Amino acid sequence: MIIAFSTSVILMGTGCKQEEVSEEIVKEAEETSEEVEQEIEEEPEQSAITTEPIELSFWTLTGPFWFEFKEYYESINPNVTINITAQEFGFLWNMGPTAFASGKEDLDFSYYWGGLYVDELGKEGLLVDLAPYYEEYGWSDYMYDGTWEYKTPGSGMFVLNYAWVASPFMYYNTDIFEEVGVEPPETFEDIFDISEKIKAAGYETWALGASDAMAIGHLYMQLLARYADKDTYDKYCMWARLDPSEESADIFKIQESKDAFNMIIKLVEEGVLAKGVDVMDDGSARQVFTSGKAAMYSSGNWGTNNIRGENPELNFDSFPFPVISNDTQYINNTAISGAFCDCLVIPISTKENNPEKLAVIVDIMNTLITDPEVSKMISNIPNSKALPLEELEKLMDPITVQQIREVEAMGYVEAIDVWTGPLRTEPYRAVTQAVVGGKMTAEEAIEEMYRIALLDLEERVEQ
Amino acid sequence: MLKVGEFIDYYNLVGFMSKRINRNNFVNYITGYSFVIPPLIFVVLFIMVPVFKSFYLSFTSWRGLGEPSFTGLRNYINLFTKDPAFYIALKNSLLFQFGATAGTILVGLILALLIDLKIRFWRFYRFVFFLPVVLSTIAIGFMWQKVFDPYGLLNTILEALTLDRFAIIWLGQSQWLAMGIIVFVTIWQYSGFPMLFFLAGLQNIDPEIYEAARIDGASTIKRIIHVSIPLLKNVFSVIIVLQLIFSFKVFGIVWVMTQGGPANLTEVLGTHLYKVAFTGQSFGYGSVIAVLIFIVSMIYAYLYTRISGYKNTLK
Amino acid sequence: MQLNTHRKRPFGSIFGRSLIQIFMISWTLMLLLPIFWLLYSSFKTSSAIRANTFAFPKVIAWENYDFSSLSDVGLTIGIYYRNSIIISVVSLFILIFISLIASYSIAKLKFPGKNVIMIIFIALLGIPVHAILIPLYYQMLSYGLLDKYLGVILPYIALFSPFTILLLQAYFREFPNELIDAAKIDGCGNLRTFFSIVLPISKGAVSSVLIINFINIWNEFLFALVVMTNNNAKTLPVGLMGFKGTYAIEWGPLFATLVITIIPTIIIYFIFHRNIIQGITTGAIKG
Repeated sequence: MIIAFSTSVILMGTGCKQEEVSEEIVKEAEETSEEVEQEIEEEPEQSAITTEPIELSFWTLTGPFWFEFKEYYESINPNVTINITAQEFGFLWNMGPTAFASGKEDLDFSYYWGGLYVDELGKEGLLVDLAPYYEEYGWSDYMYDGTWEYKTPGSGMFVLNYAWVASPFMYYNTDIFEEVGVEPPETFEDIFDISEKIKAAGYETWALGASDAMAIGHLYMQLLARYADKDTYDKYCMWARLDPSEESADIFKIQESKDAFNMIIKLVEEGVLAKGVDVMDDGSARQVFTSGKAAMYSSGNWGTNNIRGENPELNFDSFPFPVISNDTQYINNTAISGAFCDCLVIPISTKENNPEKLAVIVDIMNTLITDPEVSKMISNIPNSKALPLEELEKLMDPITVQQIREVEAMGYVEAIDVWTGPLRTEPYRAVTQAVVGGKMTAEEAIEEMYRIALLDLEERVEQ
Repeated sequence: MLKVGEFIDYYNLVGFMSKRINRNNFVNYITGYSFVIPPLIFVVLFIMVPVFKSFYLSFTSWRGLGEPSFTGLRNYINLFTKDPAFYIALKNSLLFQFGATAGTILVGLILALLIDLKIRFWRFYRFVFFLPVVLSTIAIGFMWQKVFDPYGLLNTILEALTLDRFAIIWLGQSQWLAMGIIVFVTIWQYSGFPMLFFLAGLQNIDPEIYEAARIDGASTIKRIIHVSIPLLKNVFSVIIVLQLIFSFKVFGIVWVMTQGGPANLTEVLGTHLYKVAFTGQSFGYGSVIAVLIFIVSMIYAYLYTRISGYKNTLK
Repeated sequence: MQLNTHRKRPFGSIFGRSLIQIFMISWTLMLLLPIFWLLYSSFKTSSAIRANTFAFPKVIAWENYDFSSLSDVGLTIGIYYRNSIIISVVSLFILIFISLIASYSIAKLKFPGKNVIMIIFIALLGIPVHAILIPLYYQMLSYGLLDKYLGVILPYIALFSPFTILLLQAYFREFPNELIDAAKIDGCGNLRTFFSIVLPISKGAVSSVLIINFINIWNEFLFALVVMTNNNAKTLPVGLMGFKGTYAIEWGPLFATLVITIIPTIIIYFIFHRNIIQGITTGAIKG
């Protein structure tokens, strides 16, 4: 798959003759529209299954994509109505599990994220195992390599991922960089260097929000992945899912974790992170960036659209998330592409109470992955191979295109999930916040993580 | 415990009363009960039953799935020995309570006294001062959060006045400052409420008393201190307890402005409960906090009865 | 409402009066300026707000008030409004009705056991919803009332009746018995006495209790947050929380939303403020 993908990329890159290229494009377009026609022809058959009107209730985050999708899907399937609830970010993350666990009616399927956490919910029997559908519909064929198949070893497949590997990137304000006269940093050591110059010019260096789990969790896990090897990293993240015990909880006290915390502390102490980091959430931090007060803003490649939306006039670019230093000990391929994928999950209550709804939801998932029209809607993150990348690139933001190329050039090997384990629940998250706020040393932080893990263990053992 | 003599009286009374249960009384009984039963049903079903369930859950461990499993006192022990966030939340809840109560009452009193002087435009002032009370707390919280945001209105103004060093992280730096700001916002919004209570009380004071004091040569300020305030004692008691009860319930304003953060800095009991129970999926453990909140509210309810002289209301 | 003037002449010296006026004006500005800032900021474009937080708008950004752009990303303010109104009105209606007749009968009618009942209400006076949040959530779940109006209406009635009954019964206790006896002699039963004689005179206390409860219910956040989670069911405070988050929400529409959240209550207050103030003061005296 990678070969095929890279080949088409190379073909594009080396520049075929124009006619050949346009022929290819036309052929692709024809194929695509044939597929689309097929889809459209198929759909009425599907909706014939649902002879009665079906109303689905769907939770997601605020944003226009799902509303566009809803319009499209309902036009094909007039019997179906998707009622979308856009939840606040923290709310969906927090209440999601309660909603799934309590078997609440009126939640038929949901957007979610954080693969391994979803895995745990699945293992507890809260989510529908989608493995059979992957087989039946061949969804894996449509997914890009690196779109991680979230799986705790030995468990099922509880999500449909529909976003390409979302890599971490650093967005930067090209005007500020030019004015100050600095180049995009390649290592964290470089960041400290350019930060001095940026601050001297009166700007904040790096806008980051620590008050919600998003950005600071990202940063911590990225750092951890760069300090530790993949094995250790996985043990850390999957602790709760792989035979948790008091002995294995020692993983929380590893030196690499301390290093990660220390790096964060250093970033704060040297004033690299913008003022107010511990009270801002990711949205506020982004606004500091888009209002031109900060030179950099870390996010994933989903950030491009958000930034454009907030300030279309901003001149910005991105570079891949830096490594720690050029010391070979710290260059770590696995950390170069960290994945957290947008995904869909289905609470088990839907399957148990309403098999007709389940059928429709599966169809929605299928459309999401296999329908090229849908691919055109998520033009910032290629979601599936339904639409060839060359087509998609014409619709995508040029920065996103560049990001895809950069990640390919680095050669992502294995993805990691930055949304896993410890940071999902409140007690753990308070630790990173405390560290950022300068209220905890790294030593205290790892001890605190360990302590919380033991408490967590108690709860789990009871069940 | 009844003494023998009282017992005989009681017995006589019962006998006396049973002869008095005639048709009129009977109708009263029926009406009385039937009128009182609806709220009773609501209250029993939606408050008392859940309270018992909270007690029950606090002795279990439950993650929302399946059946709760009994764990005895473990949750309580953990709460008191292994949960630093709880003590922070407790301290903040009390800080907020007393700060908000004292603040709103003090400001309310001053405003009421000044309005009572009936200077020009007093009606307008009375109108304006109560206005924020009716506004949505969440909207107010959003607005003030934008003011105290690190890049918000206040800091922008300070920087424009080149007072950069004062442009600090208002809601994140220190517990006292952050809670103080939340208390300030609450005072801003709710001072009008005690103000009205005090105005009512002031209205009740016989003007003759003021006249007597004036004739005795007391200045206005002296009259306020020695006449008005002492005579407002009843109002004080009632409004203090009411404010304590209302401020204990705080959740919305904290959640909107800081969500109890950062790192539990502004955590209050309500937010801690929400995070532990609904975010951490520990309903048993969260119920311990619920039980504690319940016990404290009972204490306040008892206080209220003492203060407002409920014994008089039970004839 | 006549205020007590314990002076026959205008108060004090000009100096004293001016000082007080200055203080009052300052406090007025203190209260009104933030709201005013919110109001005029809501007419600025988001970039204008970003550029200069406290300047006046140079161009009126009417589009901030076009809430369809918010609906397109899932923030359907209109729906939240509607829900808040329905929930508030229905809860209020039922709550006041049952509290009125209950407190009247407690105050005026004699029947055994009413002291016990009063004690029950008093004991439950200060209970915040936090204490029963978890079991109530699962209770509503088991009744199938999550995301339904009744899922919040019923608990609200339960939560706010003790306070209401307490206030009202104190008021009714003071109510002159002669009027009631006169009605009884004329042949009115208990119910009719209440509705035709007692109630019209008690407007003050009733409106105060109405207003306090309306504000409490309209602003109630925690319980609604947990129970009303689907978009169609959310109340206004809960829906407003959607503005926090990772998707690029513009400050302009945010401010506009906050404005339309508070404007109606301001208008209602403007119209009814005399009643409200009268009611609370009357209630305060008797309570």
